[in-house]
Amino acid sequence: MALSWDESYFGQLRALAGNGRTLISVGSRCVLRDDTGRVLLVRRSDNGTWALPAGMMELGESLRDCAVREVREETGLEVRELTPFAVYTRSPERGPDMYGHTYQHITMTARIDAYEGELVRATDETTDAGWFAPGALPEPLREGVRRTLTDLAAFETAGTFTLE
Amino acid sequence: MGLSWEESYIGGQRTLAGDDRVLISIGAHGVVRDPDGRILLIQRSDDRTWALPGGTMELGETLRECAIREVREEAGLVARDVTPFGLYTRARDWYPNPYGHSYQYISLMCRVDGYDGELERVTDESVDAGWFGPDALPKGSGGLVLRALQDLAAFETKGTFALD
Repeated sequence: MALSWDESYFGQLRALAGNGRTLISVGSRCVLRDDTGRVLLVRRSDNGTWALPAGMMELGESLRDCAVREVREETGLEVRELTPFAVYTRSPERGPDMYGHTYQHITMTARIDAYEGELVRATDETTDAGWFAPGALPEPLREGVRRTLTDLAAFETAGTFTLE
Repeated sequence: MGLSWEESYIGGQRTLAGDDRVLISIGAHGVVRDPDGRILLIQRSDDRTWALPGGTMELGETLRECAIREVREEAGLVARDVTPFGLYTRARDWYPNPYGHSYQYISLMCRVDGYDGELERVTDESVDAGWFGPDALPKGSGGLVLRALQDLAAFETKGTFALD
């Protein structure tokens, strides 16, 4: 069972800072693929978009721990190995989220190289989950999914680590 | 000239959170080498340890920009480019700083690929600076220096990105 927003580090920081201030958040995002190269997406319960498993870090955990935890919480799968291929740090062009809050998200993004378990299609944070070919991604698709897959392709073909 | 503590993002967070709360700090460090392979270290004005140039990110800048800014502010050198080789989370590595404040320091570790300018040995944030062979680091070098050099060596020989 995940921490509630009010219990989470960034939830508490938001309560201290109030609604108007832009906060810097830090978290992890993960790309899982099946044997045929399809990508795992979850449908988020908060805004209905299809997204990569991801979330914000808690105080006292590592970004690796955060990646493993978010995959477990949102898909039921247990990550065994991962390889980071991008760190996104740029301020978003878009404005506030559905709660009226604005963040500059720092996102460590990793390819999951090994995992175990069975996919859970509905969780506390998701209403569905599935495997999708990169050329046939579902809508509404969360911003950043295509960009992440493009950067993973660059990492795998040219060894390019994305930092921006 | 950097922002004052009160003007900085993390200084603002500290004011909101009070003195006792552990905060997550996000920033970058730069490993600068001269043509002989010696490492640039600065002696910090706050605790007199020898350290890699580095510091905390400001809202609106990227971690790449943060690494470049910190090398400029703390050593006077202008990095042409940087290559990330590690992302340290330092979970539970908490200790009060000279102001009695504790942080979970997250830092993107960057190799500086070429630079312009002349080394400034004294800045607002440093009392000395110099180039040191990896086997002849000054007494009082922080543990982060050794770890960074080991991880950079692994990155350059095996392509391993250090994540914890």
